[in-house]
Amino acid sequence: MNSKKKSISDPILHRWVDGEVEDPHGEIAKYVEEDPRAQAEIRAVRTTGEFLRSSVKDVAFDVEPLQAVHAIQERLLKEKNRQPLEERQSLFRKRKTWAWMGLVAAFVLGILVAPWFGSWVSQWSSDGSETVQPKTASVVVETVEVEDNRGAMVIQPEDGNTAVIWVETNP
Amino acid sequence: MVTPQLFGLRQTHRILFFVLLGFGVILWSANGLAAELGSLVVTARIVLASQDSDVVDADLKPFAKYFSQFKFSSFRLLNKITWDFTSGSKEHLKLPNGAELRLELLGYDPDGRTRIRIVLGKEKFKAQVGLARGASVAIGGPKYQSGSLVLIFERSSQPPK
Repeated sequence: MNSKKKSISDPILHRWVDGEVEDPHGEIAKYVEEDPRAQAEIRAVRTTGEFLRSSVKDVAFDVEPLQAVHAIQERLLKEKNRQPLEERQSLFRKRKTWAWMGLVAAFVLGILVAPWFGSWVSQWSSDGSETVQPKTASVVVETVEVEDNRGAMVIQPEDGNTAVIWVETNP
Repeated sequence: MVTPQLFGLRQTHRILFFVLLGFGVILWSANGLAAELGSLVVTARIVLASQDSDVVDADLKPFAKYFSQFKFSSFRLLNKITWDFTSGSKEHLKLPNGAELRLELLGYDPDGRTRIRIVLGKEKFKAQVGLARGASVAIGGPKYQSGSLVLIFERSSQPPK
């Protein structure tokens, strides 16, 4: 009868010991209970497991949590540093945008205002000097040069749009 | 902080809107300014003033009154040239008496007058004048045939296009 008994392989027994194999009908447990070889195998597995756990206990308990704590601390630190940085970057981007818009507006304003400003500066800076011309004059003769001791006459009617320069000719 | 809302546009679109608006205004302003500053059209009339007749060409009638004290009775148009200084700042012309006329664009005054230099090579004459839109300057004196040459330079009264 015993020779017909169902055999369970060692790898399955090992996984059963580690709780990786479910045994809803208790077949494995019953098999282990009845089979001395299986019991010896189970004992060997448990003994080996305990030995390995006790061997790496110091290292495992000291290093793994430490690494985990370090990793968590690093993540927290990164998170802590990243938030203000992103806020600053976002603020900088907003400021940059408004700065550009301001620059464009100032440029446009400058172009529109420049002619009036130039006229005003010109008026103000040349106050009282001989270069001031009446604004009503549409033509201004600034300089006349004639060589060979000849004369030139400039006729500039105040109410007209035309100035006349008459040059004496050589006889 | 109050966020400006513009037609319900998103921030990116608002920025784009302002940039395009600014760009358009700049182009419009720059175009107007460039046209105002960079375009100068001058019409040169080469006239023979004499006492030979009483004929005054129709084109010269507006100018004849300025020469009343010189006792000329006839004003004949010998040549009429229009120069556009948009493409350059100097123009040359050979006058009927062989003299070379040179016209140079010097710049623009803030009050809108254009400053030009007129040089007559043979006559050893130079003048610098400021012309507002529609204004003109006439230079007379060089003897030619039975009268005198009169050169009338008129700045176009039309705004640049």
